[in-house]
Amino acid sequence: MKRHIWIILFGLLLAGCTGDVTSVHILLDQTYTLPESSPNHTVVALLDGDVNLTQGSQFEGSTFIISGDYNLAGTYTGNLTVFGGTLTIGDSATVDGIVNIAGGQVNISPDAIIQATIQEGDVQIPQATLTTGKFWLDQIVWFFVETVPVILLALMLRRWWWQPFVNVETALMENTMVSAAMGLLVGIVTLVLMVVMAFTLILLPLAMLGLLVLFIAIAAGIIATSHVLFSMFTRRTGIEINDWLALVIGVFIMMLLLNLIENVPFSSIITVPLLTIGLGAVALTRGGTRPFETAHMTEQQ
Amino acid sequence: MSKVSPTTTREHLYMFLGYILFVGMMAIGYAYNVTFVQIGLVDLGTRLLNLSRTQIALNMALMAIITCIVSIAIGFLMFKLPRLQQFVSKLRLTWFSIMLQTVLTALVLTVHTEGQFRLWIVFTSLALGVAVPATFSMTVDLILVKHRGMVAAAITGLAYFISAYLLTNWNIEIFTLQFVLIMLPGCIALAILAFVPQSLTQFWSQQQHLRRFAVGRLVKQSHPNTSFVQPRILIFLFLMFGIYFIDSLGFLRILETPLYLNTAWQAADADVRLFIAGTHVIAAIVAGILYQALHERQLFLWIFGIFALVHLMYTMHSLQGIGENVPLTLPMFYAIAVSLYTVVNFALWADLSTPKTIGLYSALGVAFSGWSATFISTGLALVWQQNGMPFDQHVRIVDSIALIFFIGMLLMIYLQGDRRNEVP
Repeated sequence: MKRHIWIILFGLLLAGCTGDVTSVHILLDQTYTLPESSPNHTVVALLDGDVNLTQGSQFEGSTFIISGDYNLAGTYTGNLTVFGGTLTIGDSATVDGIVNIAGGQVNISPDAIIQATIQEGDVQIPQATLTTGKFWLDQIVWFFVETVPVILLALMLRRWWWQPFVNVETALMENTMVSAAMGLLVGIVTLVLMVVMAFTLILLPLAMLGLLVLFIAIAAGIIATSHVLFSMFTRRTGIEINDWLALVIGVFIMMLLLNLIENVPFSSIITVPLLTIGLGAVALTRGGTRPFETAHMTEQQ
Repeated sequence: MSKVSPTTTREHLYMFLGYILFVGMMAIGYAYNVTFVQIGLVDLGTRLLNLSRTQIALNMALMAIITCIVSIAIGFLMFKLPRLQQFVSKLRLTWFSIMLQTVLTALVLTVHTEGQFRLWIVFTSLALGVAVPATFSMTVDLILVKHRGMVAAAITGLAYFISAYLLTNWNIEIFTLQFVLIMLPGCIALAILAFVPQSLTQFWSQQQHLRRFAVGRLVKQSHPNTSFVQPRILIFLFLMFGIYFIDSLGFLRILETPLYLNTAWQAADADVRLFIAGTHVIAAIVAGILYQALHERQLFLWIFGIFALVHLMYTMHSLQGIGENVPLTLPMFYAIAVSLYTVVNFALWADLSTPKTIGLYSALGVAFSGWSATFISTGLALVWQQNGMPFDQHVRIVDSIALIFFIGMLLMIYLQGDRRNEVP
């Protein structure tokens, strides 16, 4: 059954690659003037920067404005969705289709010809508000914002998914180099795959879901790594401590360490292996659902 | 505290020297193939001989066919004649091919007509055809089974570092000078090893009789030595053919597209080349570790998956048309995919073989899958380019082929059932 779900998901992913889009423009940080006549169904995603549709130019397709400025003076046909940034519809503009305003700022000239349906919502892109302006206080606040969810996840793993967690820890201890190699590969490939999927726009929700899964896997990896290291420390020093407490203290120390060395030059020499080993162990055990045995071991059986 | 006896120390030293010989020989050989042969000959044909791309493609195809035939013939002889399975015989065959190749490399600039070019290609194919089974089969003499992944990683990392970072000027004149200077001392050293009796060569000759050297980890224990070509080998041949085909079909076009030139091997910026070379090395190490730990099907899945992703990225980038800035993620992913499969290629054939079968299997694997796929796809890429096929269409076709293989691998894993202990 599980395999069927994967096949359906994969099929949906492939279906997302089709469609009649003839040109895609993803704009990150630049000034771009759309050509006088865009090919049929062009998709523009404005993540930042300036886009201009000049007077006399014609555009047919879809536009998604996340941030930046979109200045419209030509003839626009299609969907126009504003999540953030500024949309300016000038005097000489003609707009036909659907304008979805979910956020941002929209300025429409009274002389513009609007034949489009305008739909307004009140969805706003959230702004970061957890800054006080004081460096050390901000650092402490962010440390807790990051650490508390990881500790909560650790407690949940300890309570409900202990055996999978043990599988991850075993893989991590017995196959550290393999975990590191797999973690590096999974981390890089997944991140880039999610970005590519996000750029297709149609697969944006799937990309967000994928990133969430990746972050949970990284967090689970951090928890497993910190628990293994802290357990080794307590065994060496002879300190006897409750396993739940050991888990919490281990995660706390690990998160503290990661935060403290964040700004030290070349600290990635330490942080990257720490993160990738954990992530790799999670991937090798398929999220802890099965113990990992190397190919050499299974071939011997 | 245990004492290490002098014998053990000497054995370790000899074994280590064997590793050095093998890694050096294979890395230089591979760098020669991916630069001098694949790129240098195209430069010779187009710039110095004024040949059309179709003519070069036809000559490349000729080279692939002859190399393939000679290689398989030598491999078959090695399979049938026990004498050729001995280490010294392999060493002498290797010396012969490298000597011939060094002479041919030195003479390449004397080629002035298409007829001479074709003659040069025929002799080169002969040398390469002998070199493939002779050198690859030395794995069972020199490299422990448990170290093959990491040795393959060392070869791959070194070869790509040399090709991507150290060889900066990609014209045939410079290539000729560089490779003659490298190959000439190697040729002399090999002659000494191959023809002057000595304890070192004798020591290496004995290693293939030890099980930890002789029987690859993927050899079926029930019939390790008997059959000519097993169905399993055919599947691997097909998969490696696919990988080489995809790689060369896309790579040559990317190299020749001005927009992507500055983020490829031939980039003018040394930092970019260092980044690509570094990625090759790190990816090779990752692949070496994973090769030892994962099942081969999962490695193939990763390789095809990354190839599909990277070509999709190139397609998307070319469709966006947003200026001259090409993100380094594109060459980075390409380097990862290439390093992964190169490591697999250097270790796989030996791990499917015994001293009896390795000559034939490596000939089939490297010559048939590698050479023929590379040159067929190189030829196809040149013809498409000559016919004016746009870049995005070219890369999209490559992407589709990679995706088909990726789905094929998924289906293979799915149809063969969900074996216990298999990992992503």
